[in-house]
Amino acid sequence: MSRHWSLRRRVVVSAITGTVCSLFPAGISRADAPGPTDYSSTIVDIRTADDVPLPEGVKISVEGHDAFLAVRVSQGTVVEVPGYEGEPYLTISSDCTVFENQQSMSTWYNQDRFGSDVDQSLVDHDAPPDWERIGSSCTVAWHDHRLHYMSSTTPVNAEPGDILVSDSIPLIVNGIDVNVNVESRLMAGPDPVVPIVAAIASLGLVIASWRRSAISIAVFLAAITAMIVGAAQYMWSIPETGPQLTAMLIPALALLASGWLVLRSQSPSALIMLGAELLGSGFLVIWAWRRSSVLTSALLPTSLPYWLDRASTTAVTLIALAGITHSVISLMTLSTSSANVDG
Amino acid sequence: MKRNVLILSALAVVVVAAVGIVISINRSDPQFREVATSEHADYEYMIPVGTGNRIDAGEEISIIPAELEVHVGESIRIINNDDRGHVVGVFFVGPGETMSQEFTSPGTLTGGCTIHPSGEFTLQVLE
Repeated sequence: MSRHWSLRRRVVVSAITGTVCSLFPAGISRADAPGPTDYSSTIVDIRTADDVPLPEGVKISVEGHDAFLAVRVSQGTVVEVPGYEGEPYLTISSDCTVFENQQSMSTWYNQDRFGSDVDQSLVDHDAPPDWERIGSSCTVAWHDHRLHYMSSTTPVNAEPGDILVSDSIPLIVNGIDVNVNVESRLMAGPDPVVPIVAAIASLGLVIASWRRSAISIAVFLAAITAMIVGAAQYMWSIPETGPQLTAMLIPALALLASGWLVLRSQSPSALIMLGAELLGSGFLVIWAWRRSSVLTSALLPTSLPYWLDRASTTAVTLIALAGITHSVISLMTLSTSSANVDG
Repeated sequence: MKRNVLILSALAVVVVAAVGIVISINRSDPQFREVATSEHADYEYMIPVGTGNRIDAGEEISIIPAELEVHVGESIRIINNDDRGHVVGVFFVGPGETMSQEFTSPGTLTGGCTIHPSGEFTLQVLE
């Protein structure tokens, strides 16, 4: 009895932890972590006042396809990034410490990809800057709305290759005015063949494993796959962009539940086994749900080949749905049998 | 065989339910239908030559209102005589192109806008 309580407790703790992690906003200091997108932003040119050359070691790049502008400097270089209203927004001091002004509207406006629902009373426009230390790596990366198309709806009347955004982002490096001219283009969507082939293959695997009562093994393999895909997503972007830890954490919880089920040394009750299968599958469905746009987006946040990411996501989704279906049907059957025995 | 059918049916129900939820979540956006540029348009805006250069020079451009309230069945036409593309909310009009769209379902959309000083355009489509 006490062992069952212990198992139940583990299941309950995993469920609560997983749910909290799944629902928790991603990223540490950036609410808008790099994600799948249909737009590719590039730096067209970097201009300085009077064509003064940039100090040595300054590197400016677009990160997350279209979401972040990053500036890396060597120690001793001072960078100032003005906000949309020209106010002090970000700064890298000469000792590499990075500060963010909590009294800048841009700080809050950039928390969301589309800058929606920002409470205007968050800042006092007349107050002096309230600098908060956000890093010490001589690198600053911030979400900039001038880098991307500002709507979640696909632009009407646009075709792949069309330039949707053409803007300029000002900086000050060691007192030199710098203008980073950027463009953002609509990219062609992915070929649906890969997800379709992956779906057919996964369906075959689901049927085969169901007939052999090996759905839990399929869920375990799906959790390993999701873990690899999630790790490739997490490690793809630079830390300053706040990559989503949940991309790895949710499959890790699924791996814990399904791994215990597959590798257990003792046989617990059918109820506990089905509960673990349901839990593992549930975490995978949440993971797949959160990244479902990888199937339709042109550019993905991953170091893996895009086809592999899409095929894996499709396979994990179907196996996880099969895992839920299997465990729910089995739990219902179990409950009916118990009722019959009791009757 | 019967078992396979049962498995597939159960799986199909779960997949259909998931797809249904996704579709219902995305249903609030207004929809559009392309119409011939020769047809009557209830709202018409023209972007003149040189608008892009004026924006680059720091000039504030105000060709369209920041918010537009329209009704289902009405249409909008944007004529772009400039040599660069412009974004008006969710509409893109390429250089030298004319775009005509009819509003086919209600909803609200907000997006960037190159031809209003606020840089934003909100379209509200009413029944």
